[in-house]
Amino acid sequence: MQLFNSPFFWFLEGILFCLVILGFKVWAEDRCVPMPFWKWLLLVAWMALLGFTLAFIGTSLGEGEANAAVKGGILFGIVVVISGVGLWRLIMIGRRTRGRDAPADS
Amino acid sequence: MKSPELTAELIKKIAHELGSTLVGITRLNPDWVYLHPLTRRGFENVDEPLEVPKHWEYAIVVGTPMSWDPLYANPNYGTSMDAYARSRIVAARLVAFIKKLGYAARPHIPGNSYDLMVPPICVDAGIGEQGRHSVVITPELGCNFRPAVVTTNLPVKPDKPIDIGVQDFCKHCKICAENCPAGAIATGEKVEVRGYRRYHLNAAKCNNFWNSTLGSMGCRLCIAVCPYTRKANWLHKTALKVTTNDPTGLSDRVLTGLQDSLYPGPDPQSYYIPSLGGENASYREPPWWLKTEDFVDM
Amino acid sequence: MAETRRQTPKAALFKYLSIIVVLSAAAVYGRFRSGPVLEPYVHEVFPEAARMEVSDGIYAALTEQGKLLGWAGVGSASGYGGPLLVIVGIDTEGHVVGARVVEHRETPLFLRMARVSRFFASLTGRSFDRIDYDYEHVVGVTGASRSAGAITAGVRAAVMKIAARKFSIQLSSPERPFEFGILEITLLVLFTIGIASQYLGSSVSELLRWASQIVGLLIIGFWKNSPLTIAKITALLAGYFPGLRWSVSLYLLITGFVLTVMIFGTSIYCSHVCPFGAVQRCIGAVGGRSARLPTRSVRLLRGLRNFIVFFAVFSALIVSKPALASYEPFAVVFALKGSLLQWFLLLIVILASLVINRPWCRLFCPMRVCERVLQDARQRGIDYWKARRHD
Repeated sequence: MQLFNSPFFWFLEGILFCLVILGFKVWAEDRCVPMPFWKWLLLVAWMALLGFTLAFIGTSLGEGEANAAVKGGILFGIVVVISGVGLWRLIMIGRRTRGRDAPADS
Repeated sequence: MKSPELTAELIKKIAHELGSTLVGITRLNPDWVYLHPLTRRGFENVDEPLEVPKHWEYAIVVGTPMSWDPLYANPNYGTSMDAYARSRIVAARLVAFIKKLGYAARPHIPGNSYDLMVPPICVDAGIGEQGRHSVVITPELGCNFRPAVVTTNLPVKPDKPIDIGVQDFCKHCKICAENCPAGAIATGEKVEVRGYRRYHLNAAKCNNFWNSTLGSMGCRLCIAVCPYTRKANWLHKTALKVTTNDPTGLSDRVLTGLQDSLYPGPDPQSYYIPSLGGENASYREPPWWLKTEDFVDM
Repeated sequence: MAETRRQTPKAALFKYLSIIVVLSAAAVYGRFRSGPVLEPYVHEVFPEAARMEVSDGIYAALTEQGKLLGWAGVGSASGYGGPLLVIVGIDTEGHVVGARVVEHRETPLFLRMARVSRFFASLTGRSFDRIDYDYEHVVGVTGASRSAGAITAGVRAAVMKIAARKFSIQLSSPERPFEFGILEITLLVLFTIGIASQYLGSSVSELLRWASQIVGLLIIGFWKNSPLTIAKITALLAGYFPGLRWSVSLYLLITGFVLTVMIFGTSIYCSHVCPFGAVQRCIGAVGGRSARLPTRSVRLLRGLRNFIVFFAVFSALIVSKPALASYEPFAVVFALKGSLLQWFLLLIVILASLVINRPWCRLFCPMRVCERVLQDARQRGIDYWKARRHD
């Protein structure tokens, strides 16, 4: 995989990652979701878990261990999804509605 | 020489320069020397018991890894000789170096030209720990290495044995014992052998299977399946860090379970040749450059 | 419930009777399809035997000239999925010459373990009164303690038979200890909690239910990995009743399941003991399980499930391997073992349980089918009894 070895890919990846985080911050402010430090910490931990899962799948494929990639992907993927849903519910704690233009599905 | 500490530093650097991946130093425990000389090199009365020469004071262990992809394709595609060949050249050049310094030295090259047991010397020299399968497990290469020893009277500071948690791990793991086609590896507790506690290895069974396979002769399956023998990428290095520093032993169980289900091998019986009820199976597919049939018209 | 649209008693009777007839036909066919043919195994154990004579259930292996080589006898024992037959050959001096598994109903994986053949290899050459029946050799790895115990017990039975009839030596047979440990105690406690909470206030019983499910998850699931599976039920349907002494937990599970459904009309195993139920409930608590399934698709999935369960049990009975009936992904969760299909099934179920309440129990679980059948029978019995009283 030449692509993943190129510094240019990782340069772009870093920029995109920053944009995602920045976008999330803007989104949270826009939707009046308070973001105290513990939410950021949990978010970073979850991002690390997500990154680990993706890296596990990629590394296993690179090692020629397709079985490990599938089963490990399922195993860690389940953990990522469950903790992601849990995290989403935690992040939504303390969300203020902005009076009349609050979304109906809050 | 100015001091044993400085000499140790120099010897290690020179060993690395000569091509060794691992190097360790210990005082030679005479218990590890064979009772009778194996090679008859330098020993005139070959039928007499071997008297340990005076200059075998210290033992310097060097080691190099076997090529990884063929190793995983054991028992049919790997070979011990690629690493032995490298290690023996290092040992011989190290002997030449020590002799130039004015001290006596002799290389011991496993396979056929040595007069002492190498694994316990590796343990003494802090290269690694001996596992259930009797192979030495190193933190750098797992079990995937082949050593050679230089005995010398060059005054040099010995290393200490290391503890990377292998003893606890091997108690539960038993993956090598389950997968050993010969059934040579014990699943029980350690036993006392000539005064030292270790896991029993049925060398006769091991040797019989070793000589029954096709290809490059040998088996090395216990090395290939050992959880410690994984390529040194971030994933397996992290796993090693976790299990080494976890005092509860919980991670040992989890990682062994993961190894079992994520990196399974074929049924041990299928490693045999067809006439012995097997399928010539290998633990992993061989690398493309070892598939003779793709290159040679047969 | 969509599934229990009340049929007329006649229709229900017809349905159950036809299922019973088909399943028992399968069981009988599977059982008697082929009795074990033993001669080839005697030949494997005594390759130089030219002919053999049977007397007293023991094969005497003879050379062309009529020289006696030794005897081969069959021993049987109850394994995980049914009886397991082992043949053992002993020469005229009383040394074991070989042993083979003749017939078994364990999972295919088990006998493929090098362990088993190694145990047999360790027997060879031993005098029959010095055999080390240390089934640590066989057990340690697989965790299939009943299968492993059956192999050593089968060898022991065969050796004892030959020793008694041909050498006139009565070997003592140490009884296996009565199996009653942490698993059995946990099962008893959890069933008791479940029954007790039928009579308690809702807040207390809810708390108790969480507690017992967590305990079940940890002990019955992750530690012992022995939830109730369709394989265990199928083994009983096929007529294999393993010895009570070493299957206490199995009988506790099954009687607990059946009795609580018959008495309370709801399965206390499912609500309080089942470790996989606990897994789904914990995940559901994280996800909030807010979605509702459309009734039509629920009905469709349940019909599919009923068919799959019937088909699995039927085909396991036909080939007489009850262990094959289990399609549950329990072992993947609790021991990381299973086929790729089971891994994917687990993925789907786990993701679904974030948004749906206990999807495995409602849409996939074979034990739910058993519960439904028992509930239906119970309700019909009550109706019948009431009708009789009013007459």
